[in-house]
Amino acid sequence: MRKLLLINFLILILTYNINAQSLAGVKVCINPGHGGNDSDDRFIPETGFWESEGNLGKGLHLKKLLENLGATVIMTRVQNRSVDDLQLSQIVAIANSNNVDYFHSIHSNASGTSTKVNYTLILFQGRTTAPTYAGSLVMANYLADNILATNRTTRKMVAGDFDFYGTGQAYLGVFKGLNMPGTLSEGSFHDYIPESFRLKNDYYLKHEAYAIARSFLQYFKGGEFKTGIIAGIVRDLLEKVPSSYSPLSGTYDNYKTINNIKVTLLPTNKIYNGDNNNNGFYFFDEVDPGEYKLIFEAPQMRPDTVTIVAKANQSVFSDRLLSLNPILDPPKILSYSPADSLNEVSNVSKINVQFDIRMNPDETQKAFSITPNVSGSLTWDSEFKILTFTPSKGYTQGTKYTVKISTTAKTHFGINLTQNKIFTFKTRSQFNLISTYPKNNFKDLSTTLMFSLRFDNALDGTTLSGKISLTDSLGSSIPVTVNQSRYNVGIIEFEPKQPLNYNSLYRLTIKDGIGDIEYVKTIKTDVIEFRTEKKLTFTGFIVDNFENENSWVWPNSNPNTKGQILDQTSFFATSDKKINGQYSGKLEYAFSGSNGIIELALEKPVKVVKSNQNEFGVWVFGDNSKNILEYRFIPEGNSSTEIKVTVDSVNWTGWKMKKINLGNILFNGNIEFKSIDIVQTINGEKKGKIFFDDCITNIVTDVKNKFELPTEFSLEQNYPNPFGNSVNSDNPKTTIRYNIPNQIHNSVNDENNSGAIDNDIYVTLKIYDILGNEVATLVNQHQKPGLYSYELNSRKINLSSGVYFYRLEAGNFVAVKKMILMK
Amino acid sequence: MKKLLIIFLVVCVYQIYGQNVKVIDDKPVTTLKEGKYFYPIISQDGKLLLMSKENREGLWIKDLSTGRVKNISNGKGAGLEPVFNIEGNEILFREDKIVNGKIFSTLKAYNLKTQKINLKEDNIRDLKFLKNKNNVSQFYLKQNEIQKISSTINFSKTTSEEIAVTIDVDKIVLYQNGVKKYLAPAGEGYYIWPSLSPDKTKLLFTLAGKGTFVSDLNGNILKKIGYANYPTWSPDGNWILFMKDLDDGTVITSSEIYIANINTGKYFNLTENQNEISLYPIWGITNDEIYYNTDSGVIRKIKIQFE
Repeated sequence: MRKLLLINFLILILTYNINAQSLAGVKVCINPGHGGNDSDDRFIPETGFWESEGNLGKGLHLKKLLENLGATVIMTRVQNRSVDDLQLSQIVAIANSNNVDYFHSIHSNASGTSTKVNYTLILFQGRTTAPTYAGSLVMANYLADNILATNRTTRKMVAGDFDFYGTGQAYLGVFKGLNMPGTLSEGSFHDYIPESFRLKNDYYLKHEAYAIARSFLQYFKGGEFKTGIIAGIVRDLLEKVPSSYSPLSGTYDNYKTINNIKVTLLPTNKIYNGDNNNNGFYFFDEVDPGEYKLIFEAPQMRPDTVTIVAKANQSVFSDRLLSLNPILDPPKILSYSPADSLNEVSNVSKINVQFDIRMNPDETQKAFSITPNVSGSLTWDSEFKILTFTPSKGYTQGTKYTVKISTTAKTHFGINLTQNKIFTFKTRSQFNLISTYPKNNFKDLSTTLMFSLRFDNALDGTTLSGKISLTDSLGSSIPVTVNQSRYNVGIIEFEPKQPLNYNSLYRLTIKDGIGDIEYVKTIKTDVIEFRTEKKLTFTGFIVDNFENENSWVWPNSNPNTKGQILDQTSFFATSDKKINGQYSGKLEYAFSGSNGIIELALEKPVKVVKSNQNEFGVWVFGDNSKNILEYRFIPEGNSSTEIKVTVDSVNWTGWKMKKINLGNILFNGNIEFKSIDIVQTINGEKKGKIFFDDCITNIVTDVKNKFELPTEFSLEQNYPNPFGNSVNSDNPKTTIRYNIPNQIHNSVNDENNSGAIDNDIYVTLKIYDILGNEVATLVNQHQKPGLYSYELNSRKINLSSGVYFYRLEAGNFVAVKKMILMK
Repeated sequence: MKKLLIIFLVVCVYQIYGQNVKVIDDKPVTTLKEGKYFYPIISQDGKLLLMSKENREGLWIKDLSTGRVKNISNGKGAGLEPVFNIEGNEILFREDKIVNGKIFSTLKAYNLKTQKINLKEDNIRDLKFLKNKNNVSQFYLKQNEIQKISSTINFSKTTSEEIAVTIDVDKIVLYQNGVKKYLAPAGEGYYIWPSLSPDKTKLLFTLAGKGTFVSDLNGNILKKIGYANYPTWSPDGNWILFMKDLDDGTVITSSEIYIANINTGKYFNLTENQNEISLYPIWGITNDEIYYNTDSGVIRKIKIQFE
């Protein structure tokens, strides 16, 4: 008898061991696909789901499950940064160099169309019926069955990439060159909205990881899990999802799911607390086979119970439809926004009213009114407690509105609001241009400057047409390239398509009527006049020409760089902008705190000669960040000491040669140029983009066009025109510009030249009325060649409103133009 | 005389640091008629080219003087980094079989003189060739135990000064004078494509996602090369050859072959006029010859000129 018992015991142990799950000695490589929320990631805006996050969640759960089974797991990434998004060739190399037995890549799918589907797809290399590795097809079938069973998609599909993509040859990069069987699972479709919400639930991801782990156990003949899984979805019996979700027929996805559910598993007393990601999913794993009771609870819902039988190595489901608990109290308004009597409310502000009880949406919407009337839409939160009004095209700026919810508003159970609720608010009235680069009357500007207009709210780009113009002194329009990417922070940046002329006058006009994203418009016209720099050329010995980024230590690898945001700080060679050669160096940076430094250091410092005759400089395309530009030097061969030289505040845009005199450096001995540094200032921008080209020493500066003067006479149209108090009460002036050329007086008959000194010429500028009567003399004197302007203030001249003519006479040159005065 | 010496020095410095590179020829070595081939490897004498299929199945030899292509294996994994022995008379390769999902390798040697294949060892788990220099190996690893390939070579602390390198998951493993050293020179992550410089004083490797680096044998970083996949040393040790492949997460969308000067950091695109995706480059036996495969399965040879 004892012998029999022993035999029975041995049989039991043997049976247990045969079924006991183990992956000891197995080595696998798991590749959670994509990564980094970047350009090759996939994002679903309706749900906020990133494929890289879902893939990683499944991968990390799978790693744990497989390691618990004794396997060695090589993960191609365990985080979700761009740097973890490895190249396909690197992923293959990792699997190969570690001699793994199997490779699996985890993904979710997208149809990319309005026709929604939700099936499970497993891919491998080869023909569908003739895979490169026979094991891939075996595993693909396990995966398809197991993932279909956990995710409960509508169907499964298994295919080789030669056939699936119709290429007849290797297609998927993650299999190319792989030296072992491999598969890629597209567990479900993340652009099917109900599934996308489920993929935001970490336990849902874990469930798919179990499916993959079960497949590995089958593939490696490693037995089965001794425990099982109980899972399901809890939905609202009364509510349906919006039609935009496109719920698939044959599923319960047309019912709205319930957030924040609580599910209790008895008799274990395990509790699952649901999330608020609109999936209603619940999950219990490591459940021993046997009968259990589930209790479902959710705010304001009637509790529900069900009995369920758990099975080893399987997932069993119980989906529930819960109904509301009746409440017969009248509803209360718990909160509302905007607050009563609030001023300067955003012109697109939503109106929210929060009730304490689920409301009847139709009756409550009828009870809602806003005066003056505004077109817009009313929506509810998932529990029908928060009513939201969204104006379709904003409110009228600077207007007082009254909101009323009348007593006809009803709860879901038919009980009315006991009192009318009324509150008011006033909308924003102004949208302003708060700063510009350049400012009015700026001089010596780079001919490649980048214009920047900063407003106090995000811009509506559609309102800009015809509102901004850049003209030269003759009124000709200058073509520009506009950067629209910063409209969302209220900034317009643009650059001339061709460099501007040197030493020339330009005018930037920003007209009123530019709108922000809240439909508020500017009410003022701004005019900015500026002059570009004289032409200079700089020659010398080039220390570095920025043609190769590898000559410089990357700022993030430089121990002197501090306070930077790592993933927003970089240095690369670029052909976007340049002075010479093919490339310049582009430094993008961002500071996290208040005393950051970005250092761009040469790989090897270069000796420079320190003398009063020696200038050293770098072509710098400034970003007007107001941070400090420094050059740093070291004593020759002594990198432990730094000599810092402040070059300038970065208060310009466009290319400028920023040079220093090396003779001014207070150090006795030879020095080496080490680095260019951007030092953060209190008022400086926290982010910037700056370009460098040709770092030069022994600079020789050649002044071109030193005596650049007009080559011909001209009289320009006055600006503004019309002018006067009724046009602009703040600035009732107009400016008349004219040019006197540098002419050679070699004619004895030039009577106006008699008595003139050098190139002087006799000039008169007079005003005539419409009948030809002279009414004012503005200029009556000898003038040297040059660019002249006369500012005429309508308050200071005794002229009535009307049309006038101004006449320039200089030597043989005569020109007349018309102007209109409106007093 | 002094002037002459300066000119001589300038010329030397220019030769080392100031070189420009010009591609003077880029032509196919194999044709699609012969078959699609990938992952070229060159013999020490430059006369034989080893190649495989895209999925590493099988191994072929192309005799570059006669143009003849000979198949020496149809085994799985035979094309995964086969090597020549130090004497140059044998090609070592693996053939894999799968038992209950686990991969077991057979180590085989093809004798170039007798054209016969010897089975060296069977049922090896985790077989890796330890590389002494590009495409040449004296040792292999069998489940982390070092084994000699040639009977004329010992690998012991007292008798050998041989150095070899391989990878163990997240570390570079350096075998030097019988001592095993684990290195992670550029931080945490997966190390791939390690190789020793021809003078065996430096390591070249890629840390996945972080870039390619050169370090000394103690793991001190000497140079960051940047984004440079499948890097290898030039025969004279002054240049690095690599591919810059880009993908969209699903397929490789482009790839170019570059060389970079290890001293100046100056680099040159060798395939900018080549329309095909260019992958897995290797040096020939001199600095001016490079082999690579296109995505469509043609092995090509680039001839370059240093100016």
